[in-house]
Amino acid sequence: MTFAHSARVEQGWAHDVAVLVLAHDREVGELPSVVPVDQVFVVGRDLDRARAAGARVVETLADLDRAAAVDAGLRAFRLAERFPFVLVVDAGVRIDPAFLDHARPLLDAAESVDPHVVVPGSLPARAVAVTERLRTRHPSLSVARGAPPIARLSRSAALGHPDGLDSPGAFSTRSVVTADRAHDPAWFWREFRGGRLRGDRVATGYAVGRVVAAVLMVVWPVVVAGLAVLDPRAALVAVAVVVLPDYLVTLVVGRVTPAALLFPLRRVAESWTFLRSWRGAPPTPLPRTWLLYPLAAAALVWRTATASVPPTPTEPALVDAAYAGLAPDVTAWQLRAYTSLTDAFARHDSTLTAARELSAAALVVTLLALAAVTALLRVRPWVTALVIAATALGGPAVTALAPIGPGPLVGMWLSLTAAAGLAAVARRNAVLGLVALTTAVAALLTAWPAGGPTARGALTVALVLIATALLATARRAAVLGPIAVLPTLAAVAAAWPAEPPSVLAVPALLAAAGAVAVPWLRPVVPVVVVGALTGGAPLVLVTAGLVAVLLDHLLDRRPRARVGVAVLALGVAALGVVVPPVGRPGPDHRAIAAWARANLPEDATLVAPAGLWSDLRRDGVPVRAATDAPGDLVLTSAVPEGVELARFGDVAVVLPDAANPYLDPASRARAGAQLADNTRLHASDEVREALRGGRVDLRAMAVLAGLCREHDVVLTSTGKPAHESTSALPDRVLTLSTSDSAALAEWLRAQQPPFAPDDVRTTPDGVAVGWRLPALTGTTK
Amino acid sequence: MRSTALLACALLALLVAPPAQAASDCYLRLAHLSPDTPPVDVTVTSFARPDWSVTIKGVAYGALSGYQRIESGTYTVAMRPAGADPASAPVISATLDGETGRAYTVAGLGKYANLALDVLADDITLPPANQARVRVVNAAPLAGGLTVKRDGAPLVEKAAFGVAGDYRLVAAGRTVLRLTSTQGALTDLPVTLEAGSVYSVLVLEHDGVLSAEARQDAKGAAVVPTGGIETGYGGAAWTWSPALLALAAAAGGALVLALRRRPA
Repeated sequence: MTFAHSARVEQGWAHDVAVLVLAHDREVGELPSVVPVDQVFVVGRDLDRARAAGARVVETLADLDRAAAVDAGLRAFRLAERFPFVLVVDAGVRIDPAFLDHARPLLDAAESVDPHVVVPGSLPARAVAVTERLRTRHPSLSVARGAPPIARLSRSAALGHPDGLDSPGAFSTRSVVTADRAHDPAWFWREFRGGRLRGDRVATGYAVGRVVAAVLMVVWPVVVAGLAVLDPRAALVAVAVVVLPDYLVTLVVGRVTPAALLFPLRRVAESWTFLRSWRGAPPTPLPRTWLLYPLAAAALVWRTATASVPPTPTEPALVDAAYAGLAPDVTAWQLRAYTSLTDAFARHDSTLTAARELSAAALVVTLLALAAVTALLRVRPWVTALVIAATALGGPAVTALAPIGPGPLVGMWLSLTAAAGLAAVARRNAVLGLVALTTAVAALLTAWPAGGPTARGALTVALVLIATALLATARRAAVLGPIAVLPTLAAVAAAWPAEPPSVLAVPALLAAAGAVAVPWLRPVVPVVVVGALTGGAPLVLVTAGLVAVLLDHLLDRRPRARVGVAVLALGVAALGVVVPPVGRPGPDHRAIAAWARANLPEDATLVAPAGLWSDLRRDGVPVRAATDAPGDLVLTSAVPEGVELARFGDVAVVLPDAANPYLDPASRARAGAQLADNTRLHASDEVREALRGGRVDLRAMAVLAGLCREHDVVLTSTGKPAHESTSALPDRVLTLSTSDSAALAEWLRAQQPPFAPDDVRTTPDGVAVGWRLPALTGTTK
Repeated sequence: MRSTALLACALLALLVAPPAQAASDCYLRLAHLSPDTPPVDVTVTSFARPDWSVTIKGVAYGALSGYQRIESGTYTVAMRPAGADPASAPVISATLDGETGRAYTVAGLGKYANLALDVLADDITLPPANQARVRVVNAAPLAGGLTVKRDGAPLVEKAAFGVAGDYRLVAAGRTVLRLTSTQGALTDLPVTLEAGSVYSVLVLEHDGVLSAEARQDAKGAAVVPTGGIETGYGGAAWTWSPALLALAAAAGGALVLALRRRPA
């Protein structure tokens, strides 16, 4: 261990700084060189070497704790009176030569993002804070000894202040700046690559832990996003696992503030910066204005993924095709590939929501690409975030984004085209240009065969907008006009007047009007107007992007218009809130499946409409598509033509053959009238009336008659499944009892179809005996 | 004393026994036409009167009982293996909705694995003059699609196993019915079809050999008399209508009271 002090003191305010070295139980190595040696003071035991190196020392008889050592140094050398600033360091700390230059401005600022200075709330800083607290209160703990030392620069006037040295958790206040070169990523990686962290087990453990923690923090958002797709509850757990412990640490070392719940987002950015500096590249910290973007994007994705939007006209057939493994067009092929890879159909309650998972996933990709576009066009990220947040609040926008179809996929491919294209132009990168071309082809293949004017119109809009952005970046906006003419005409021909304009046209038209004020956006205006007439997911995304560009342009002209921009965005959001997503629960396919399994003959086949077909098939119900053949038992939401057997909300099970003998109550009434007079049958007047009225299944009555030959039978009630309450079907659930329940059970077990009951269970009122519906049609024999 | 009273009741009951054909009656007979099904006991039970039932014991393949007159109404038809404990649970196999004046055959048709008791509506109405009514019941699985010809003219074509065909009107007189199975096996059945009669031609199979027999269902306006049916539950070869039972009970009661008041 050598003693040295290399005088590398620069001119400047270093003369105002005294360095107080706390030796504790450590040996003093290299003295800090940020100030002249005569401004270095050391407190501790056995300080001959420090004295020999030129430092002024105060030797103590025993190891003092931190506060006592600082106090001893301040008193012995009257530092507070002689110097405006005091830098307190632990022995062994190596201070970056540029530290004072970085730290001086920070004394006047509450926060810092400078990597040379420990950032408040960052993981290393808080780890240091924790160990600092341990070191102060429990000097004997090895963990305190093994923790990286730190340095603190304080105004002398602040020493003794609660934010000063007596308050170890108070980092980066206006009076104190803490620093530790070990937290400088560039220094860390230099030491790491040079193997200089291997010699000390503590240092090695610290280094490995820091790298692992950084990797985990970078991977964390990806894991959360993946879990959000697979199981939202698991995603919440993954968020909580990181956020809650992190917040607890914040509570330990800092102040209680709700804003600390957002620190993990910052830690993700810091970890990314830390890992990026592996190759020695100068870390470029992420501006804090980006913090809003993931929050807004998450809000939009959440709103879209959880919106209960009724199926679009094309959705059910698309979902059925994907579930059946068919791929009639490129959109269905992508849906089939996605659901196969993610096993989405097995994870969701309905095949529709499973298919819409792809819509949410496409939106995630779209928002990532939009972030890249925002950065490449140098649009203020908080402005884009604000627009996305407003979109998330807008009911019509969510309604347009949630359904699966060509729209969300085209939006995704086009956003990737825009991001890759802009990056290719900005960096003159051919590979990125190839990516842009590929994604553009994917967008075309997705949208054009779909055949809908919406998709084609919106595609045209988006392509022109992207071309506009690309050309604007390339400073060739002058050629935009001629290029825009042809797609505009094509869009007019394709879109008009297939679909009525929706409320989404309002913000789109407003954005188009605003675009008139921006020269390089003017060629886009007519195309956006056409797109406003078509609607769909691409229009929402294009409008959002256009509004963000316009607001950013406005801020360029009038930087003080921040409040106005925010109010405008919130106003648009408020309009959207007024028009919430139109939610309507779909058919309860599980109830239909449960009813079918319990009440239809085992070989019966239901004919189901598109959308419900895949749900019922997944539920294990024999089901046929309505397009395959005329149905015998038909599920329909239309006015039933035939006899309704059961109802599930808007959907009914219908028997087209209204003249089916089973539905004729006449023969049942004849038999029931005789059974009602059976002297061994004991029943209420209500039950006897049901028998006489022909409202009880003939098989059930035959069993009753057979039972009455040998037993006295109490028939408590007759009934039928709840979903059949409005149908003309007879009661086929009997609740009965006899004096010998064992004999009753044996008697029932001996029966054979069609008289054998399909369901026998004991209830408080007796034994409930039920039968399935008999074969009612040619396909249910 | 008691035995005297009971005897008096019985005599009185016989005195008020119903006529041979009540206005609300229908006719029922049973047929065992499933070749691989063991003999069964068949019980017919009224929906309205649990104490009234008819049991036909040990009906074996090919057996066709005579018609039994029963009160019109709804019945369950249940089976037990022949000789089974009467207290054991019967297997309900069919229901019968008997209408007044109609005749029915409850037939076990098909193979044992898919055995079902079918209620066949028998047409016992009087055929036109000089004609008879004939139907074919194919109870021989080997026969496959059975064809029956009379004097070379097809009477029935491709009658499926386990199915009772529709009645056909034919000219009365002596004739030979030629039965042809799918395999080409031939069986000739010489019969005399009386004018005004109704026949069921049963096609059976014993040890792989086809046989046929014509059973007269009705002659003139009357069904063929009963025979071979045993009654259960104190049984009834005739109908005990509630009114007659009440009358008999009242008469018996009066007689008992009269005997009790006599000095010993």
